Amino acid sequence: MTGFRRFLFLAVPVAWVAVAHIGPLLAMAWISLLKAFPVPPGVTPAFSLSAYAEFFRRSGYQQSLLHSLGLALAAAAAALLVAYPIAYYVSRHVGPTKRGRRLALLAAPFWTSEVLRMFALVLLMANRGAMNAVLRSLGLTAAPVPLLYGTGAVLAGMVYTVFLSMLLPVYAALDRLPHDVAEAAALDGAGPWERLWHITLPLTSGGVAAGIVLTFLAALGVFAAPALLGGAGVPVFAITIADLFGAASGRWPLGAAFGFILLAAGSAIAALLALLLSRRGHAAE
Amino acid sequence: MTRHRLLSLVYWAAFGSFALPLVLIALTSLTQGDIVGFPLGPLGLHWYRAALSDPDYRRAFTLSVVLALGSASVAVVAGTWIGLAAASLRSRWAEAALMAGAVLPLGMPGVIHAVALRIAIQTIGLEPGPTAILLGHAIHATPYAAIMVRARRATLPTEQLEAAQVFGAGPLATLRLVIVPWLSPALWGAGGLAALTSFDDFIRSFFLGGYDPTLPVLILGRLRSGLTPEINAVATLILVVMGLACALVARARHLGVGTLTPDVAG
Repeated sequence: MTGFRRFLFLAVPVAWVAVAHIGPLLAMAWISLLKAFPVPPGVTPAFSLSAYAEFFRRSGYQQSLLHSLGLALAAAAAALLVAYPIAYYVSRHVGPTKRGRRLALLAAPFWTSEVLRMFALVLLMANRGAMNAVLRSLGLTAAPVPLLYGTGAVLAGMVYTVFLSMLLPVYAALDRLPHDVAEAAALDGAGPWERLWHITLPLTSGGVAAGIVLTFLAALGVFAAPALLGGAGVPVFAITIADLFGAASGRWPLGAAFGFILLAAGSAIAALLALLLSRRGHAAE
Repeated sequence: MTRHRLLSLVYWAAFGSFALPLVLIALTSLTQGDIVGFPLGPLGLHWYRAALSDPDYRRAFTLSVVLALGSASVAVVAGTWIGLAAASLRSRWAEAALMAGAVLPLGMPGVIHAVALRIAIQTIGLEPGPTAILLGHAIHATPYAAIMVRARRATLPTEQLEAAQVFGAGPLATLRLVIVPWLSPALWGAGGLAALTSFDDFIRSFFLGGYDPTLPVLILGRLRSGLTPEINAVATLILVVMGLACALVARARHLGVGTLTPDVAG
């Protein structure tokens, strides 16, 4: 390839990544540091950290962030508890030709939009929903049990939104793990729980760590679940941020700063989790 | 109960919990009454007639389909270009840096990516609307295309490239006659995944949209403003269309396409 062609061949994708992938983050960083937005024409923009300081000044914002982090952690833990036995089952108890199909079958409901999945949960959990209809017809309750509009419903919705980010890495790790390691331990007299705790889990800790990090980060950014299932009582940071972009653009610096605070808190916790889990993995090896 | 039976029970229970709520949408769409929920009351297709003649849903559906096809095309071109450029780099570090930048949109929580894109279009003076959504969806799907093309490109036998060179094919002819045909399963797979992801996307469309809502944005708006079974009819129709589309993608997988699992990053 001639020099100019080679340059074009490389410059276009590098420019796309710089402008379309990194650019929006830089724009967000710039806005988060502005004292006032929009900047009036002819005025030199003034910068400050006041948007970040605002977060530490108001306990409501901090509580909403903490609530979000806790919910996302709980969603990752719940997803792991469901995904691990399933991934174990498909990788160990299903014939090699049928594994792909079993995995695809479980993943099929996740092809639908998250909005439709949340709507489906409303139909399951509402006062006139399927669960209450079953409870009523069994004579277990006379008045509808309020299942929607609470932390539990949001948690269920989060897991239903992000479950695959847990299932896929965990399955990949279990699928790579040779079967004979656990079999050797069984010959040495290790029981099934011992083998799970001392061998299978530590040797798949990389996949578990990847799953937890991905699921946790994805759950932090979930909007439809708290918007449709949370009601007013479940403040999450994603909604706080979205609301700041709702009406007047004067609140944008605050929203942008909060976006970075969520990203920073999320990344820090994700890194910590990954570190802890990889330690446990190495200790076992 | 044996371990096998117990684990298989967990699998099917999980599948049931994921699939059953979607069945409820279809079930409750068949009522004649005004109330979404149970008991169903007299059954009929009344709400399907209402949904199919509702101009808002028709417009939103058309917009969603156009955006899915448009953004998938842009994402496939951008992702292919990135994947091929990455494959051509001699320095491993340069390649890793380019691919890290390429997958960046996948690692961000959805709401943050959406907000960052909203600020970005404001910065370049683009109004919220279909063009902005198309760009946002394309950026979100580019990582899939880049990863799939990069992986597929690595399996291209060098003999084919050498043969093209021997016969005097220039770089563009080699691209057209050797590389693109070899990549085609990855291109169709990435394109299908990008189109479905765009069609499903809520958060980016919500922040980047103007006055015309996409289908998920319209549905969420209607859900928040009060339920009628019309939404169930629309949702059921979408589920059927998506089912057919997935069957097509699954068939494409038999041709060697990479992935059978939807967007995991949200």
